Amino acid sequence: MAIAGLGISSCDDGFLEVPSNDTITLDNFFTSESDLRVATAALYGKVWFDFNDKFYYALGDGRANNIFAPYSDYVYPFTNFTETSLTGPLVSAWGSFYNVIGQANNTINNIEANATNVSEEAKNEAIAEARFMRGTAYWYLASLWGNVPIITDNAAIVNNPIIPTNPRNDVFEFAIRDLEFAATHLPLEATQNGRLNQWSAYGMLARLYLSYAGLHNVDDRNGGIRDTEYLELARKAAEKVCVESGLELNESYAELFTLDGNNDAESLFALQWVGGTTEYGITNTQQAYFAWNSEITGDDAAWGYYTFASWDMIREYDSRETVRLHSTFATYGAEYPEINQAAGGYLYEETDRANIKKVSLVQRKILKVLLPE
Amino acid sequence: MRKTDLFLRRTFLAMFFLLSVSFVALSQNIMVTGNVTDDMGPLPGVNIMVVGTSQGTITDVDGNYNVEVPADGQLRFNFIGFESQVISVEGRTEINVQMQEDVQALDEVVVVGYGQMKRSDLTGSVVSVSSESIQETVSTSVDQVLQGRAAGVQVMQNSGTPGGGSSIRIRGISSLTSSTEPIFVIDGVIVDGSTGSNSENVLASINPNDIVSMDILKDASATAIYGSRAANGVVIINTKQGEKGKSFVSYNGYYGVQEMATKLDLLNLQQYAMHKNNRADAGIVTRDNYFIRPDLLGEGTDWQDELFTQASIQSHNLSVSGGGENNTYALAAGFLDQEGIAIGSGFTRYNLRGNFNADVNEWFRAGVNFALNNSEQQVTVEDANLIKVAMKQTPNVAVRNADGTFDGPDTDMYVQTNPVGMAMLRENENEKTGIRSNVFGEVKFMDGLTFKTEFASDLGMTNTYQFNPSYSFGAITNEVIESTRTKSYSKFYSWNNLVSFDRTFAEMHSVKVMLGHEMQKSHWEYLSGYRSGFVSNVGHDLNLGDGTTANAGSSSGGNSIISYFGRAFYSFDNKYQLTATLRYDGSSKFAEGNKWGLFPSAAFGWKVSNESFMSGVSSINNLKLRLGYGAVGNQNVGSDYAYTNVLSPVTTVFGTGLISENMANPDLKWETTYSANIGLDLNMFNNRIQFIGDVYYKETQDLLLNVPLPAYMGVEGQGSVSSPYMNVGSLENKGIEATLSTINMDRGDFFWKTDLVFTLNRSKVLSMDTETSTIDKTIQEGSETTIVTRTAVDQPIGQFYGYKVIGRFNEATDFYYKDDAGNIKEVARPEGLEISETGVWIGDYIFKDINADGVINESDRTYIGNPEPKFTFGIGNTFSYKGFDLNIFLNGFYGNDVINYQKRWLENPRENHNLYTSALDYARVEQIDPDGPVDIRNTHITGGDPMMPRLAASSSNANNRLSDRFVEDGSFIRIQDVSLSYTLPKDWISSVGVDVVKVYAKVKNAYTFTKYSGYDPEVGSYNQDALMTGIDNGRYPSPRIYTFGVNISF
Repeated sequence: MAIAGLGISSCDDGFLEVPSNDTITLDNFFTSESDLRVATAALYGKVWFDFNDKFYYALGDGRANNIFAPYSDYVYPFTNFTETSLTGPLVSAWGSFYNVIGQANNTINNIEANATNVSEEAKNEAIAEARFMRGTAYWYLASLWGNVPIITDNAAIVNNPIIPTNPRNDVFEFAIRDLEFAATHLPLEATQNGRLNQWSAYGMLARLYLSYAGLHNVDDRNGGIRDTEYLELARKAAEKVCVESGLELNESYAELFTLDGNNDAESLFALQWVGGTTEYGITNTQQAYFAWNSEITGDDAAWGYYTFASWDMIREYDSRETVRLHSTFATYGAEYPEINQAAGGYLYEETDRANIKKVSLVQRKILKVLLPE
Repeated sequence: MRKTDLFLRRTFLAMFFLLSVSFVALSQNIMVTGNVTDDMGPLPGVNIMVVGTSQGTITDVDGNYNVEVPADGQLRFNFIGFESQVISVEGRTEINVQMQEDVQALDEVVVVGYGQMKRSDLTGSVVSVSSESIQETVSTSVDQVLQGRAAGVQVMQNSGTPGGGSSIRIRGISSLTSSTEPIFVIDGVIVDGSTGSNSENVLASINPNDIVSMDILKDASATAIYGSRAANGVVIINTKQGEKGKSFVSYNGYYGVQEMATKLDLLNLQQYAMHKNNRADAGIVTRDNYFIRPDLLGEGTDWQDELFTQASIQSHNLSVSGGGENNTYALAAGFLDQEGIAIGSGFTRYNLRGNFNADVNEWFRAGVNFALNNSEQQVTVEDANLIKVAMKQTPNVAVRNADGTFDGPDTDMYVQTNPVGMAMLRENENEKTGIRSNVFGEVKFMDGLTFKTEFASDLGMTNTYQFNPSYSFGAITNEVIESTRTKSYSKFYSWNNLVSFDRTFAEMHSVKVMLGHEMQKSHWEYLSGYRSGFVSNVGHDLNLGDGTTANAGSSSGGNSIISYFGRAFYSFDNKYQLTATLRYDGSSKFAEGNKWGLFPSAAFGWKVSNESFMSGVSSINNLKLRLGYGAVGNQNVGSDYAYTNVLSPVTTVFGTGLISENMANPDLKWETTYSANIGLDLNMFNNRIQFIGDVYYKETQDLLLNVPLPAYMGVEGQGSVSSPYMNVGSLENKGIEATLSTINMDRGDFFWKTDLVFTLNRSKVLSMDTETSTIDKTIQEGSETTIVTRTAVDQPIGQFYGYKVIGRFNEATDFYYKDDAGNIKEVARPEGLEISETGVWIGDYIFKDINADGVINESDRTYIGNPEPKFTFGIGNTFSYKGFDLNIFLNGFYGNDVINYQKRWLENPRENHNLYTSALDYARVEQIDPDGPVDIRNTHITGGDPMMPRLAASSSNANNRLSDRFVEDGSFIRIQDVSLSYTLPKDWISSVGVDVVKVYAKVKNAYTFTKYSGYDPEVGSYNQDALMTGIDNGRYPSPRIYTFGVNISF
């Protein structure tokens, strides 16, 4: 009979184990090298989505006054110097960087704790991918916010999440160490096109050294003078890529923004977006924010009619220069045979503006770490 | 000729019946006198009827009576609480009668967890709702019957849509993040009451006509036997079974019409045109050329009349039940078809049910019970918020074009779609099929010792069908044709084994012991598919869509519980009673070490009336005190795997990737509610007055909270992890509830009974993860997301949150005040706004500067209303006269606030859509000297409602921000049910072999007394969320229903 007092039999324990079928629990994962690749794959896109969605160009091009968007509250506060700590893109980028950091931390810690049957080399390679992402995010945070909390294990502080910030220099140093680890352990050639390799890390490292060279002593009495030590490191890291990688720049700058140019040799690191899907959070939405009408995108998502080049930007272009302008901003009379191919190309006929052409060709928007030219 | 013959014969027959009745009454009458007593003495008010007639009398205060009766007739003596007696006169002129107390009547059987008890043995708090109550209402699901009929149970319908859901709160809200709905035990199958949706209702699958009893377990001593699932209370529902002996066939059916109970006062075309001209004058819109002469315009389209119609409702139920010497059976079939009063809504249900119980031999009994239900529901109106659209669509837009196609506005900017077109064209339906079944076997080892094993299962399948066609309503067009199909499947099963022992020793010691073991497992699956790019609106299946747009997904989940439990009852001399229960539950939702929880309870009952010192008090025939304490749990964590790290898939260019989905909390455990209960049962004057009262205190500890974490923990946006569930915080509920039933009159043919139910509950959050933590709930309207409720420590749950309007700037001096030191200061204005026509101006609201910092900003929001009623009540009156029964039931809520959320726009004179006519009473702001300067000192208000804002070119002061202006008193008294029935006299119908013929007419939602300005003050909780109670955001109004029906059984 089933009634055996209050004793718990082992049969009960079995009944109380209900395995999940639509998610994966840690216990049954990280058992092979391919599991590690699955764990790092998600760090190339979704976690960066809220950064890429608006912030990246709103702060970058908006603050620089490259673009002008008088009706878009996610751009004009940056152009007009009226942003506050609550301005939408700032809030979402802050969240996005820490999503990158949190998920990279989880990946690193899960690999270290659970991937017991996988070779050290493979583990280090996967950890290097995660540390590259984490370091890059910390670099953005240090550059933009200064003192921020450094978190390496989210689970450890979940019960007491109110923690102090770390000084900006510590955050830079931390980011540099992440990238240095990545440069040591990433493979010379990536396992899949678009994934990180050693040259990605050196390229990013050059960028970090360079900005740290100018920032790490900015508060000192001698502030503002670039630190020659870090300048030298930046030069060395860049040289590594230029000399040893065997990679080369494209013939034409415009190629970078074509479909064929996706993940080409000039691209050291690019966020990897998924094309041809309506699933939110994994696609590159910049195309929709820049496209000025539906002929560009082929669907309703074209919200960029009122996002265009600033006058100051257009004025900067050398009047004889055509390639760069043509592939960055659409100006009156510009022809684009590659757009709307079904109708035989596209002719831009707006007379009072220059809309943004740059990303309208590629489904996958690329965050480029350009080789030092 | 034959026809005439038949007619004559029938008439003759009828005449004969009538005459024969009067013959009996007239022939050989004698006068009988006598005295009626019980064991205490004379019994007044005893009903004495001459059998076979409608004549009779009642005893006077001394128990004496006299009545005229045929010498060979019979007298029936009837009195509530006593067994009725029929005595043949046999020529006697004096008949004295001693009435015997009817032990059975007082001792109705109450269903408790895993067994039954006599009400007189109950020590916990249990309230019963009878099947008669169901018959008094027009209820399509049983939650509607519970409304106001059970003390301690507050029921509000969350939507009036057919098949829509309710929120049922038994003794308040016991959880902040997990379900607050009780569990239902339907013929042994445990069903969770939460759906998290307005249009869905787990009880909608049950035919109320099948139900024989509903018992609601409220305090911990009653519910602890259900342990970890019982924190929100338990409703035990049993369906009709056959009875040994006579077989019955019965039919019960009705047909009815439904209509809108109220209509809102919105602008007609003339008013709209004039107002639009005024808005053009104010510089808000450009002048409309069609509105040059508003006086020439007609009424325009009344969108309320267009979307809402008279709708039909019908229900047919057929049942056969009975039994032989060794077995009983019941079979039933039911059909319900309820159209919605709004086009594009409706509910149809089929029920089939059968049970069979057999006494196999002296010591073995077995039975089986099957119930199948199938329902179809149209939810277009609810899902597309069409009520809101109909309120806002303007009267200058026509429903249809001349050719019959749907029309719409002539621009697609800042306008509403055509709600009628959407309701009729868009497909949004679901079909549900469920099979609930159980089988049991029971072995009787010896007298009082039995073993019962029962297997119960509940299978459910839901298909949903959504199709968004291409259409053009004027300038509003949709070209993307989309179709979504989903299928879900759920399986629940439980197996329990019970040993029961029931014995009385030495006639004084009554002992009942039950020990049990139970295993429960539930599993669900969900599969969905989507395609767009359909070539036409005709075929809706995915195959007709563009394959390259296909999107499919599936998910599943499940959990299990194992339990050991027991209950012991001991009664000494039928005076002192003790019940102790214990349940030990293990759940799959928690990590090793926290899986098991122990839920004990104990209760004590003292039957004071059985004490010898009470024997002289004849007016009190039952007085009992009850005292109970116990703990129950809640295991409804939002996720089945919150205790462990879960990785979820992400589509990447490299194939599927995995990222962490949650922040695990391996320390997660049950939410536990401790509750204490003191109760009193009092029956007086031979049960003519019955009173049950309870006072309780409940404290829920280890609240499961989805702890909010700072964004740097990686918890916001795409690719974030969900913040962890933790056991932090506590809340309390305390209250009083009372049930009073009185028989006011029982005289001759006239019977009048009153039932009163009173419920009072106060909830408060005692602690959360930090002192300053809050749980905010928001509503999104367009691009605006507004906090509407806030739950915080030391506050009631889910209070409305917003600004306080303390007045209006009526004149220049209103902009300044003198502080205590006599300095002139400016009255606080919204941050960054100057005194100007485009800033803050005469006719704008003055908001309260809560933090007194001189400006109005988000920190000046505060609590502006509480949706929890001060008390609720139900009053039922039943009058019977001869074959007529009249029942009038009132349901009331008192002291609760409601946010009329859409009023923010419907009463804002600036808005482009249609408005309440009250919006026309906006403050008329004019210059005192027309040629003077534009200055507040040269501006005054010349008309309009004293509390309406101005019609301003700019909306900078945001007069329609969420403030106490939109919080209204939601108190109401509703004439919920009126039912009038007539049971045909037996002697009319018995000749054709029919036992009962009852015809009836009922009105549901007959009239509501309220100050609330929206459709219906009964708002309920948005998607069953206890923290979103009382927010009327275009709720589907409950219809008024008139039905006519007949009940025949033979």
